[in-house]
Amino acid sequence: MAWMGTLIIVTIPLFMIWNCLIIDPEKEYMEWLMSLLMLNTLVLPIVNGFVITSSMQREYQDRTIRNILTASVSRGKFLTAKLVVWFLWYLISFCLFEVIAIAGCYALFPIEFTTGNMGYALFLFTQSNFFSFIVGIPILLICVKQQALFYPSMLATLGSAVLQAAGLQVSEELILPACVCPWTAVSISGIAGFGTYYYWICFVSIFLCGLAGFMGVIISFKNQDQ
Amino acid sequence: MTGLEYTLQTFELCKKYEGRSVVQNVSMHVPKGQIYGLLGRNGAGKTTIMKMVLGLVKKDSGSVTLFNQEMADYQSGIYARIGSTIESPGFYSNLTAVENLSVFSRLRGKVDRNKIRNALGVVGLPYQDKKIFSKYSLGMKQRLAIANAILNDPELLILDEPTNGLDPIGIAEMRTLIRKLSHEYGKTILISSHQLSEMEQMVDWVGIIHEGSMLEECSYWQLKENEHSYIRLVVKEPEQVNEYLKNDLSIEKITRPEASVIEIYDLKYGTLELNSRLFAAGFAVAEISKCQNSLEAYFKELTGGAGIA
Repeated sequence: MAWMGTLIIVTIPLFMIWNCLIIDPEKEYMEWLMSLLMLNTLVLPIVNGFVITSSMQREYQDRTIRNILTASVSRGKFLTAKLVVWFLWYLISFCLFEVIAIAGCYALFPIEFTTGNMGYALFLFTQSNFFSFIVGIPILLICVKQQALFYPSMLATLGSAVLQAAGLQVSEELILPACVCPWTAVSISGIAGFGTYYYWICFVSIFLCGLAGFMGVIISFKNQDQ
Repeated sequence: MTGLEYTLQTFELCKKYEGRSVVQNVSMHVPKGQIYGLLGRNGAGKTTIMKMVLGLVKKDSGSVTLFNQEMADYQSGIYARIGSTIESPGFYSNLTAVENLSVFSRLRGKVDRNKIRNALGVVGLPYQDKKIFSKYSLGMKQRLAIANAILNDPELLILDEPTNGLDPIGIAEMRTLIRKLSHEYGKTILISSHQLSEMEQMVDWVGIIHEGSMLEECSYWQLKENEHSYIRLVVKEPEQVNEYLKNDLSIEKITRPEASVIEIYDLKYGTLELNSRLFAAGFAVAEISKCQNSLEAYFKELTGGAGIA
C-alpha cells in the first residue's frame, strides 16, 4: 500500500509536467505552481490517510496486534513506531514529489528558475505537507477506534482533504475562523506569509490539533481491550 | 492445592463489558511445570481471563500474580517469559512462516535463526518452505501459532483453544505436542477448551468455568473420582423392588430418576447376581445394565444442565 501511495504522490508533478508540455504549453509559472499546490493539497492527505488506515486496519484484521503486544511490546512503543514509520514514508514521498516538481520547474520555466523562486516553492510545499501530516494525526485515533473497520477513517480523510483544499479558496471575511480550523489553516498558512498574525493562529491551531490527536490516540489505545 | 509452587495465580478477577459481567471473581492457580485446563462452554469467559492475564484486556478488579510477582502495570520483563496464542492465529498473510517468526522474534529482541528453526521443528513445520501464511491449512496455522509461542523459550505457555478447527488426527497430534512441551521441555501450560474429550487425556489440573464464574478447580484425578459406576434397573414393581433392595439386600445408595427406573450405586452385587436374586424373589426385571456416570454428566450437574461438548 505504501508503494502505491508513493507512486500516486510522484504522479502528481509528473502529470503537471506532462500537462504543461502537451495540453497547455502557454501556462505561466505562477499558475502552474498554484495548480500543483492545489493538487498536492487535495491528493496528499487522501493518500496519507489511506496508508495509515491500511497499516493499522491490517494489524487488527489479521490479529497480528495481539502477537505484537504479547511479544512484550508496550502500547506506547507500538504507536510511536507506527507514527515514526508513517512519517518517514510521508517524508520520503513528499521529498520525491518536490524533487520531481523542482526538476519539472527547471525544464518548463528556465527563466523563472531562480534561487528565490525555488526557495519559495520549496518552503510552500514543505510547510504545507508538514502541516498536512500534523493535522492528519487524528486519523490515527480514528484508526485505533475503528479497529478492523476501514471506512470511518477514510471518510475523515476525505473530509480533511476537502477542508484543506477549501482553505485555498477562503474569502477575506472568513479568514479568522478558517485559521482557527486546523485543516483549513494548513492552506492559509501558505498564503498568509510566514510570521504574520494569521500565520501564528494557523500554526497554533495545527499543532494543537496534532497534539490532541496524539494524546487521544495514546489514551485510547492504552485503554483499549484487544 | 497447598504445597505447590504456582507460576500463575489470579485472585477475584472481574470484568464487565457494557455493564454485563463476563468474568466474576475468578481465582485460578496454575502449578509450575503442569498443564492446567480451563474448561467451559463458548462464551464462558475463558478467553477474557487469558487476555486479562496477558494484559490485552484491562481487568475491572482483582489481581494477577505471575512468577510470584503481582502484575500492577505493564512489565515487559514478565511478559517476555510468557508465550501465547489467543483465539485464531494472527500472522502477516503475505509472509512465510520464517518471515513471520522473524518479525515477532525481532520484537522480542533479536532474530535468532536457530531458535526459529528449533521452534518450527518442535511443531513439525518445515524451515525452508516458501509457502506464505495465507496458503496455510488451519492445522499449519495453529502449529505456527504454537511455534511463535515457544520461540523465546518461555516458562509459561497460554494456549487458547489451540485445537479449534482441527481434524481428529490434528487434535491428537496437537495433544501429543502439548504433552511433549510440558513433560520434555518443562513448560507450565494454561490451555483452554470447550471440549472435555480433548482435555481428558492431557491436563493435570482443571478449572471449570461457567458464565464467568469458576465452578470448580481441582486435579484431573480428583475430577475423575466423580466418575461412578452404577447398576440401572428397569422393573415392573419399583416400589417393592426398592424395599427389597434396601431391606433384604442391605443396599443403601439407591436413586429413582424415573418411575420405573432404579439406579444402584452400592455395587456389592454384580448384575448377574442381582438379577438372579430379583428373579428368585419373584420380581420381573425388564432391563438390567452396568453404567458409567461420565464426567459429562458431572459437568451438567455443576453447570445446572448446560454441559460441555
